[in-house]
Amino acid sequence: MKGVRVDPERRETRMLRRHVPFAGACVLDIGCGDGRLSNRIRGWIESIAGVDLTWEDIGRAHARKRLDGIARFAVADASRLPFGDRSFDLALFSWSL
Amino acid sequence: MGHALHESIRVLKPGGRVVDIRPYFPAHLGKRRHARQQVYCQVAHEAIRVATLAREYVDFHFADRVVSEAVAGRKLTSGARTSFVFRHYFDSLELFDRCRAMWWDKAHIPVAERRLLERVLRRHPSTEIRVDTPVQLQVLTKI
Repeated sequence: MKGVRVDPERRETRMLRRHVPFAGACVLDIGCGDGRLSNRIRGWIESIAGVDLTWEDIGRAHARKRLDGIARFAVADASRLPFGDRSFDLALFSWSL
Repeated sequence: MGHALHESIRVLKPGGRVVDIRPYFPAHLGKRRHARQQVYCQVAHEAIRVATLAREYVDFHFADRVVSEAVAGRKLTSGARTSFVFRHYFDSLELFDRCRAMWWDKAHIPVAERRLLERVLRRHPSTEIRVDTPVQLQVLTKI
């Protein structure tokens, strides 16, 4: 959002890098919002799927061109995820649990 | 319908990780100021603390309980855990108010602190508003 800076110091990204084994992982970003965090971790992972409740957020996530080819986003309720059992290596809740 | 955490466990491979990042308002710290969201005005290189956001903590404590139950029920094991301060910056009071309503449900500023915030912004119109949120990162592994 214009006029708003979210974690410009990238503390969250640094903490994730330090504590989470992202290498080659298939990641599910639950409550992905506009894809902010998916975008920041895109260089470390194999693929990412993001879900959120509103088309508005998912539309903004889709608009992030840097995620083309490794990310897919969908509107979905986190308590009824549209994915099969045992599909992901990591489930990421960023401010969404 | 299950909780999102239970659904995430279902779609994870065995040995997969749940990464939980969220504001950290532990029940044992109650309403102590350092454990709540702080609002600052960033004037040049100086950060002036102007307010503390007050909000309901029930949802956070419920999430804590759901995670604890998943660990006690041997669905997940606890791994790395750390905490840090997450910062948001806003160009204007209008944006701050809009995002506060949108992102931080029920967060409000006491009247006196709101007046102080407005006074600092009048004196330094180009200042940014900074909100510091205590956050925890927890990694859990699916058994």
